[in-house]
Amino acid sequence: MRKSCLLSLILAFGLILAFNSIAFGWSLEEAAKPYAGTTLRFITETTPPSYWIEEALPEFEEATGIKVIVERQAHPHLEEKALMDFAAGTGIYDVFNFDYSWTGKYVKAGYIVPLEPFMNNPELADPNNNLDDFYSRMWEGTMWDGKAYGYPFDSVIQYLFWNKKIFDDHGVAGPPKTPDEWMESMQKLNNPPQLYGTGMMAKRHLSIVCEWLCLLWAHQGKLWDDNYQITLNNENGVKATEFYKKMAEYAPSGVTTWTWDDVNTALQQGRVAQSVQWDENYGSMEDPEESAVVGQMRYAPVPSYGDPVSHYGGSSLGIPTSSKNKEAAFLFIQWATSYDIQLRGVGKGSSPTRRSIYQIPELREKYPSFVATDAAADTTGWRPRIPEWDAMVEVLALELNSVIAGTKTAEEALNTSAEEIDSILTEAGYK
Amino acid sequence: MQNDFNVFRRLNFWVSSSENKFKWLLLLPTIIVLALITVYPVIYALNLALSDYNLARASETLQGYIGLDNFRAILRNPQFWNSLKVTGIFTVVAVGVEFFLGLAIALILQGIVTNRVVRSLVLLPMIMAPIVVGLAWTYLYQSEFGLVTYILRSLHLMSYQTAPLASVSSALPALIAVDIWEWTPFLIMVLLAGLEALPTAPYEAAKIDKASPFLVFRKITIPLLRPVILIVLVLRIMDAIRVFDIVYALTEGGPASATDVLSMFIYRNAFYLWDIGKASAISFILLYIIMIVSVILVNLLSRVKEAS
Repeated sequence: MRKSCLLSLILAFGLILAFNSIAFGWSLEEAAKPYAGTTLRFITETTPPSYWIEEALPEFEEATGIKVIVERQAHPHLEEKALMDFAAGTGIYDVFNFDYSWTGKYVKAGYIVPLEPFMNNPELADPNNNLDDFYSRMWEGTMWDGKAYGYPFDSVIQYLFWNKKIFDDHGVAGPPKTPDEWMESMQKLNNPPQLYGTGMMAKRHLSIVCEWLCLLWAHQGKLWDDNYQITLNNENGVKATEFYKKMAEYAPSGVTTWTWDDVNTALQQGRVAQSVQWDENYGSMEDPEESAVVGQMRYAPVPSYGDPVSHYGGSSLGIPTSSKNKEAAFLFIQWATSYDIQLRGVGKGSSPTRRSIYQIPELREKYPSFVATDAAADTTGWRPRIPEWDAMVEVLALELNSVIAGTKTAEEALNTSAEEIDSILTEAGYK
Repeated sequence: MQNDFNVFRRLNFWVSSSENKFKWLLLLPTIIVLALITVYPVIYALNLALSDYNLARASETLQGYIGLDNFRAILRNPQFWNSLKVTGIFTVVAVGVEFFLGLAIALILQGIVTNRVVRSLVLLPMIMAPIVVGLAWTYLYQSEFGLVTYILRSLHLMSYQTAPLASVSSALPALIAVDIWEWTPFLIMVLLAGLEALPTAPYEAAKIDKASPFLVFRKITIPLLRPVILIVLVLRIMDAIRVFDIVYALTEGGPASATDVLSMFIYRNAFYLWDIGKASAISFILLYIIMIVSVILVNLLSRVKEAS
């Protein structure tokens, strides 16, 4: 009896030791020891999660001895700076926050490296980092030819932000479910110049293309079919674009110069009753220092004639080929996208990319956007990831902005876009 | 004597030759620096303009030297012709208004404003960085809270359905207004300096002849001031043709293509499409335009100088 007790004790002790060696055998401090004293340059976009990482950075620097210099840039300038460095191979940047629609372009140009060699290195990879916790769409966004080129960093899903208080005050039921209900709500809520029925990001900019894509999908339209035959100018495309033009009647006068930043300010100030916007801004709606609509904002899919519509615009952290500190960069990426850092940043800018965080009941209660993001994240629509997409954005931004500015009809603008996009696809060998 | 003369000549040759060499030696650092910062980039840019060079594409997919293909593609692009038109309108209207306004104010201020502080204050808009000017005017033109927007609406010059930068018809005039605000002080100061440097004798003669002020202005002031006028016009036209900062800060070429000046078109090709080859080619076209306009104006200037 005593023998068996002793054996059980030894077995239990052994199991605990074994468990400890698996679960606690890896630590950031230990993994980073060979790289202490390294300085990393992290180029990122001026988005809320970037601010949060900068705030949390001293923890990482203290634990690892790795210094990180954060360089924040607006969306277009981020690429400007990064591409200059990558093309010249100067190796200024070690960590790069890239939009998922850029993945193909950067991989094909050989500017970013796959993360597998680091992920498979037991000295670098945290065994407790549950990669399955990332939403599948966001993980897919970092992949190219079956290889992962980044860890999802910023959720960024575009859907409808609607101000429940304004809707209630005006006796309008929300959220609208179909485009018809949506247009009706805009009409009813529009009371300029005090309140506008909707905001719009209709500048000649990527923003107008993103917003219009939501409309296109809501009207069951597509840019092209499976054989790259252009469909954006078919009946659904025209209806979607005419709907978009009609929205401008219930939007502030300056929306042809507005991007997502202007929409956010208008939503925060309660100047617009609703608008399509990116979910990463949920925190700014609840910040009493800059928001007049604390506790009023609600979130829903873009009203659609079919399945719920939302638009993924997220980004990942990757390593440039020219970086001279790839291992240290991987440790930083792993830390910046970890469960702990994403969770602690909720409300401070973090825009988590991990499912488990969105399913915490207290957070769902406090941040209504978490319910909407969780519902949308796995199936959200996304824009093409082919390298030629930049050229198409240029075409679409000009043509769509021309529709809102009143210099072209929806049909004219879509036909021109279709013609030019078709020639881009043909020239690139897709058809 | 002949020998002495030959010796002197030989000596003189060596002295002048070494003097020449010394002059060149002194000039060499400047020539090297100029070559590095001007000639080399121009040659490099020309090479880019004749190449298929895109930052976002792998080097093995680029075709390298493609001759004049970039230029051909640009000349076939309707957006280029639109940019050319917008740049032309911007330059003519902005510089035209700045000149007449500058001359009028300079004539009014002549002999009145001698205070250095006042003169410095007049120069303030010009001293500000153009991008700062652009950002400041972004707020002034803001569709909801902008002061200029508010004033225009209060005076019923603009409806609540539109805003200065939001409408195709008002965006370019709004940009021109910013340029006028920024650069008229430059013209005022230069023309004022020119006016104050004019000889007094012709004016005294005109006074004795009891010539009317308008006749004095037309027959004496303008002809005497012509060299100064041409210099400021050359400088301003060259500057206005390549305007970028305020356009980038205020409209980025929109709405639609209403403010898409040539520099913005270059920027779009270089930093939205990463097509450095095409962007360089357009830059060369812009360079040729500025050169042609400048040569015409400089020729005019030298003719005026000869005549006077």
